[in-house]
Amino acid sequence: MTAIRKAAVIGAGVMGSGIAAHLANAGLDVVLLDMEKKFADGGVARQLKANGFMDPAFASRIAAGSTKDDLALIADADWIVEAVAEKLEIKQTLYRAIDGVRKKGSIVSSNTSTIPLHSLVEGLPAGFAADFLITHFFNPPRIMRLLELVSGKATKPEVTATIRDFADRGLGKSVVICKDTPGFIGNRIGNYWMVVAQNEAIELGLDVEEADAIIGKPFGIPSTGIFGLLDLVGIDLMPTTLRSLQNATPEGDAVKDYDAEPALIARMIAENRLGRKSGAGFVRLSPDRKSRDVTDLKTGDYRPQKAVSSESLDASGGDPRALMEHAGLGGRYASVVMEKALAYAASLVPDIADTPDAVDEAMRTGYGWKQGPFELIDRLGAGWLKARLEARGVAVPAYLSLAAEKGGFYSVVDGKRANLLPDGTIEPIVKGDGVLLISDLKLAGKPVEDWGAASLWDLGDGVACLEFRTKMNTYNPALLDAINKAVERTAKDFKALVIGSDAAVFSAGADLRVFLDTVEKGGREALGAFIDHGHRTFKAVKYTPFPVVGAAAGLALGGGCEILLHCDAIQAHAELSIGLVETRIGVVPGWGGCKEMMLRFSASTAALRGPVAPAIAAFNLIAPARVSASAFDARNLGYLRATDGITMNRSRLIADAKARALSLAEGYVAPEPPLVAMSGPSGASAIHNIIEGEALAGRATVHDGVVGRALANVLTGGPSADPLKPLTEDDVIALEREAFVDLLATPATVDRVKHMLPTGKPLRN
Amino acid sequence: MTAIYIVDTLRSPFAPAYRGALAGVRPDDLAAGVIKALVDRSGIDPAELEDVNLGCAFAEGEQGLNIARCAALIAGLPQSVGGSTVNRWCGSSMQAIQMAAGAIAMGAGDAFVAGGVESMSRVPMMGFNPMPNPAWSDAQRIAFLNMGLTAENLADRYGISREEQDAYSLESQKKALAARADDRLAAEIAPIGDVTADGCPRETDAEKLAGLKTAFKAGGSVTAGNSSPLTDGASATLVCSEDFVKRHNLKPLARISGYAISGCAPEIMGIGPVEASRKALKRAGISAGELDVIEMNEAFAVQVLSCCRDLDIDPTRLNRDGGAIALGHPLGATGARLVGKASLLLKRDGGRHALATQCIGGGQGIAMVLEAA
Repeated sequence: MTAIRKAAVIGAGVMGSGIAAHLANAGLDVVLLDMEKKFADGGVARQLKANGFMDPAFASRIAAGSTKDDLALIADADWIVEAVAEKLEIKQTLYRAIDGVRKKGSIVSSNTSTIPLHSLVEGLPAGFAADFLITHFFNPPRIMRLLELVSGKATKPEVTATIRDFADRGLGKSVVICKDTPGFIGNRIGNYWMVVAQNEAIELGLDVEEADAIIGKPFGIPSTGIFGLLDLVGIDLMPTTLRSLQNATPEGDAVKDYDAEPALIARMIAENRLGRKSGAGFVRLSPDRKSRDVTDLKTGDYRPQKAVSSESLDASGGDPRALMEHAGLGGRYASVVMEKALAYAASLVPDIADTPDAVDEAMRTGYGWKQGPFELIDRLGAGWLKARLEARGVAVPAYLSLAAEKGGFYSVVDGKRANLLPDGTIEPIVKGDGVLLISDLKLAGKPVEDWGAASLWDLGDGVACLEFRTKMNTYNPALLDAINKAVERTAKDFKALVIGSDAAVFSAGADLRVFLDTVEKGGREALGAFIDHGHRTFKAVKYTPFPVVGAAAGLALGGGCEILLHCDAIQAHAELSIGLVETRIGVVPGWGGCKEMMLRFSASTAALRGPVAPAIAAFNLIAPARVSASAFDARNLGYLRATDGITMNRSRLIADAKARALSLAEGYVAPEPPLVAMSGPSGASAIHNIIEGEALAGRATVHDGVVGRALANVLTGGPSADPLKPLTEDDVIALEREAFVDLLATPATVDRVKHMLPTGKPLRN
Repeated sequence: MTAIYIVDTLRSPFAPAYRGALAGVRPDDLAAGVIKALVDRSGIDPAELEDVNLGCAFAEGEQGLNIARCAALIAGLPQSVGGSTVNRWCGSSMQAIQMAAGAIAMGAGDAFVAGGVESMSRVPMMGFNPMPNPAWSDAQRIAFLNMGLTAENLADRYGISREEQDAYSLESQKKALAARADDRLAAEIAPIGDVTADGCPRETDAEKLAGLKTAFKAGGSVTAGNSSPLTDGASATLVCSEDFVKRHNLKPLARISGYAISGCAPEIMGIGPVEASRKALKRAGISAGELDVIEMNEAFAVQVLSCCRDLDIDPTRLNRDGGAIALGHPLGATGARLVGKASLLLKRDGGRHALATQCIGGGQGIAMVLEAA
């Protein structure tokens, strides 16, 4: 396989520039060309604004230029991505030009979503076609995990293998192999689902609010539902996309049954009600800018937004099958949309993909569905769905009938998930090397230990994995106990421990309810005991006789961040949001977060050192509760060390963490407890000046000042500290504990906690 | 006493900190570039230089290690020439010139390079490790460290409105942009690498300035638009005795005719120039009315406006090519820019007497009076 080190993207529109930014995120040098250099520069600027880069500094990895002057820049690119206008002639002219300059063995791909591969390469040199494939990214390329990959008859297998591997490991994509059919997988099914959901709602005269509530959450579809999604993608885009799909699909395809531009949509486009991009769509901000208006699907006019009211939804309790069976308007809507969409999906395999798993993966990672259509069918019951279709008088796809007979599209064979193929065979789903999911372990067997709040899994090779299982993986005493037990059990039977799971949230920190209840019932003493419990636990994690690696993905906030700071190493997913956010609820990090950040900043070679510099750096991170925008950002902020690893593909995180743990296990010696240099009252005085400056400027509240002073006290070692007399870790932990307990005794902090609990938002008091 | 002359002056382009063209340049390299250009064009034998005095407000990190000595060596001056770093915060490089002049007056040398440098990108204001005495009250500490609030205090005491401050700042920007457009600044600038022009002056208008949020005090009047920006830059002057000037047939710009330092209340440090200027003018034996050229540092618009009221300064003679609000204020480099600029203006525009003055954090003013040579 060719190593991909340098890439070129041609076409710096929304997709092209987004792909270029993400290639830069993967560490590549990228050439970005457009017709004029200024468009390419504009593309980089757009991505900087839209957070297409995981670190703004990565923009410097992109060299912008024009196709007319700078095409030679692509000569040493290993991979050239075309993302220009969807016009065959333009693309083919460009391909000929590319073929004239590209190096031997380079790979060329198109980001087309509408032109078949066989048309793209028609009439082009055989050598070009052999190096060519379609790589269809979803918008925005940094965030959307799906990459649809289409190879042609002439495409060399190693070309496909190279891009598949790089997209998986380097770009973190979920690569789905598609056939060369219109709309590939995601847009074929997605657009059909959208037009059915849109037109049926208009036909039935539903309220936008009810339609979105029904067709979203109950089916594990994002809560934008249908009309929220249309507002997001642009209402004017749908008719064009649908017509293109209707023209390209074979005779009798169900997508042709629907009007691509119903009167209401035509009117909205004529009135420039295009969705979020024009500031008004199915939903808009009211002219008074205080409330929202919603398009009435019957009249097409705006009316004030109302609370969701749906008899069917209420009656079903959100269960998808009960919802579809309900006789009310909402039930009828859910039933017609989902029955048609699921039947459509079942009718398309194997034409668009070889397996149900490929289709489901595309809909999960490209459209954000929690479950793909085949998983949904299995959840509803293939036999049940078949009967529903028959009752409706709709043709039942043979594949669905087969699944009804076999008991579903998925089964578990020898502890592995397996697909039912259209020919009736059952084939285990093979994951790539280095893809390790707890969900797969669950299918294969039981955990080593199950403490309720957490489970301990055997990852093989002597490595255990601790999976948190509380709500949002928040800490309560049971989880702290489980961590201690995991440390004991690992010491006995394993040589290393990974902390992590498949969950979207690593840990949202301590359960705030526990704080409040503990204080209310037991006062300061009980709260202090809970804090001590956490301290002992995290200290145990740090000083185990074996290495502990934190596999951090999603959110790692507060205590979730603190346990990671106590690990020997962190293996982070690239999209990590990590932060010590305790000040948002009016406290300071109380489980060693202050201490660990002081140790990190004192040891950092990036910052100039001195008695108070580490404390100021820690203060500037903790006081404003800064959360990373990516793992690379977390490294810049100081939460991650230069030695901590970053994994682009979420599905590879646990395996990478395990590999890291094994690399540390050989000859592992627990760290010696370090001393923490503290600047004392003089340093505190400098931080007080920052606090007062912010308060006077109106950027900090009164209670921010109280919390800030408490934080300054911890970070500078308290009133008796001196730069020449470093403190022990336990000394600093005692300061954290004192500050935490004192702050939670203030009414303003309690107000912050009570506000955060139901709203999830900080109170600025 | 021998007459002491400002023979020549140069400065680097002044660039906005962090985002400007000099953010990547080490401050010792920056200062060395200016020193070398100044000495080269003077035509004197550098071995005849006694010392290099460089002002620097936060002399640590890359500005540490006695940056004056570092810069002198980097500039390629002979090892026999000394190097001394001078700290009087914002007044550092004017103080460096005074030290050169003072040494000449006592017969301890004939030719000095005196200037200053500050990379506010690479060493933050207040340094990496500020550790004020914890025994100070909050009010004392804020007055000493938070310059923006001292400006707000002046706005309150002198009743100077946001509109007046913004109008003054807009004028400063316009003057600087016009001076740059007319190529009136090139004579004082030594290019650093391929950076040849100032980066701070910006096109703005009253509406934009009025729209800015206050930076230091909620409900106050001091904004980023009516304050000097954080800046990277270096400056240098060649300070020589009368004897040296004659011996080498030099054509000096101006003679130093007066100097003074004066302390004031830290919480209104911006008023420092008033007493310092009064003392320096008295020592020069002239009145404010006799000044043809006035270069007063614009740390904050409100501070200049307050000083002008007390000193009764003719606005047409003040900061003719714009001031620090437009050009920037690299703390340690500003004083020598002001003295150099005042000297250059006497030469360029004619006139007999000039004043260069500035305020200093912690509550001081510094002033130097010059007479056309």
